[in-house]
Amino acid sequence: MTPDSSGMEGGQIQSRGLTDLDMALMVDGAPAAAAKYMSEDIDSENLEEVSVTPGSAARDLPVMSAAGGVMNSRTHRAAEKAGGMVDFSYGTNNLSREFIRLESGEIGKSGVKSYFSFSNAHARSWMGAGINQRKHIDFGLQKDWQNGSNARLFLSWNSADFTIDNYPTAQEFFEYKHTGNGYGRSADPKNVNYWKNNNDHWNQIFLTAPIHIVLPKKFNFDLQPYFSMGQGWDASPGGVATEGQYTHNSGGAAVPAGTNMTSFFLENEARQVGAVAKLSYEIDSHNHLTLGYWYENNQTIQATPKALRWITGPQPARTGQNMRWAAPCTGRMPGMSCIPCSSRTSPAT
Amino acid sequence: MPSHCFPPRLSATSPVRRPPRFFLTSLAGAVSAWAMLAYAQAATATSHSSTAHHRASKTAPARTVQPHSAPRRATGPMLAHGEEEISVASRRQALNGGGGMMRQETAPHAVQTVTKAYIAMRSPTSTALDLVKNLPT
Repeated sequence: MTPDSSGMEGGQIQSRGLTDLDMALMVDGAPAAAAKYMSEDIDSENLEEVSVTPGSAARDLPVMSAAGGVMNSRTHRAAEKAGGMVDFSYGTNNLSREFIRLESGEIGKSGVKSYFSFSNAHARSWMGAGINQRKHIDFGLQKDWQNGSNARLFLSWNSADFTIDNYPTAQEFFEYKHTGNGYGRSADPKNVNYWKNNNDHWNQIFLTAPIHIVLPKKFNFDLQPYFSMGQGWDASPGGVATEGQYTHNSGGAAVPAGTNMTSFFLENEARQVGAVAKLSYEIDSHNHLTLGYWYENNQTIQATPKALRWITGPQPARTGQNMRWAAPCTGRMPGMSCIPCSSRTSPAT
Repeated sequence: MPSHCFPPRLSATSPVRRPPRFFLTSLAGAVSAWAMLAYAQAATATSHSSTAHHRASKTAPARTVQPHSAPRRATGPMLAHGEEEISVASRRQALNGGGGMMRQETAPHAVQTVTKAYIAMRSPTSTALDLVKNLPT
């Protein structure tokens, strides 16, 4: 389950002694975000059903590690008639959330239906100082044919910033107990533990487009392309610079002692693209014969740069040029130093 | 989607329009129908009595179509004349029992599902994780 009541953080699953790391987490049969970031995939209003298959996974799923089972979310199916719905939430930790969904209904007599939804959520961090926000779009398109063939498309976009929780050490806990000095993120921009120094930012597009074609003689053909691409970072306090400890990557000027630093786990790109194609023959209602092929290509570009703490305090520098991360390690950004730094590209399968 | 991993696309949960299953039409004998009406009054009670007669429609909202000539009387026994048509329709509750938490599974492997009825009942800030946390596995 998720730790925060506003559902922005995601959580983890434990099932039969295994965690979500050993599970296949899917949306409409396509591989989706990890459990920790599950809220990025879809708004709950657009969830038609969620199923869990414990134990071994079907062989035709585009997953490599699913010893713990499969969790699949089926997305909303567009309505027959044009219309829409809205809902609003208000609650604990200053949560406010708005959601709207518009349905096209059947477009002409084409059998094509679609919907579009948008949500915006805003909440205070449940632990210590901080503000979390999430914006999300879902879009669905489908066409059904009389013979049972269908084609669907689900597209979602998610942008979220949340404050990374700090679970206390024993020392931090006792300090809080005895002095009242809390262990959560600080509300003071001058503090290196300032909440904006502990930001998780993620921007993601997810797409899946399963096509099911009913062929004569009990044959079926399925094609499922999918694509996801995300970019973001986790920030954490990088300590306070001492005299001569850091220099700027560009220009080489010394970073003055006493400057608050930010460490980043920067994921410049997490891209996953693939497709499953398969031909099935229904021998009878219990037995199926399937032949297929799965292709997938992943790319992850990561770096762990260190930067001067976002300079002007309350202003998140992500709106400014300081956070142009296109070249995280080359130090083209003024005000950045980039001390321990690595980059990795890992195309797979 | 593989038809043997997840419920088939055109399962009972499909929104594709089709005639309601368990659609029962009975032309009840005039006497018994009117006696039932008199006994049970109004629409809610009609549902009760028709449920008793048609087990397939346990959770069905029932609707009584009255002939135009039927006298509209609120209470008391009535004399039958003409015939009455009772239509009982059921939607997909049978497959989505327990408020969407106990879906009837038909796949030849273990699977547990929460459906729309349950999801709609939960907070919109729920993630899929929050929704499956009460499943048996």
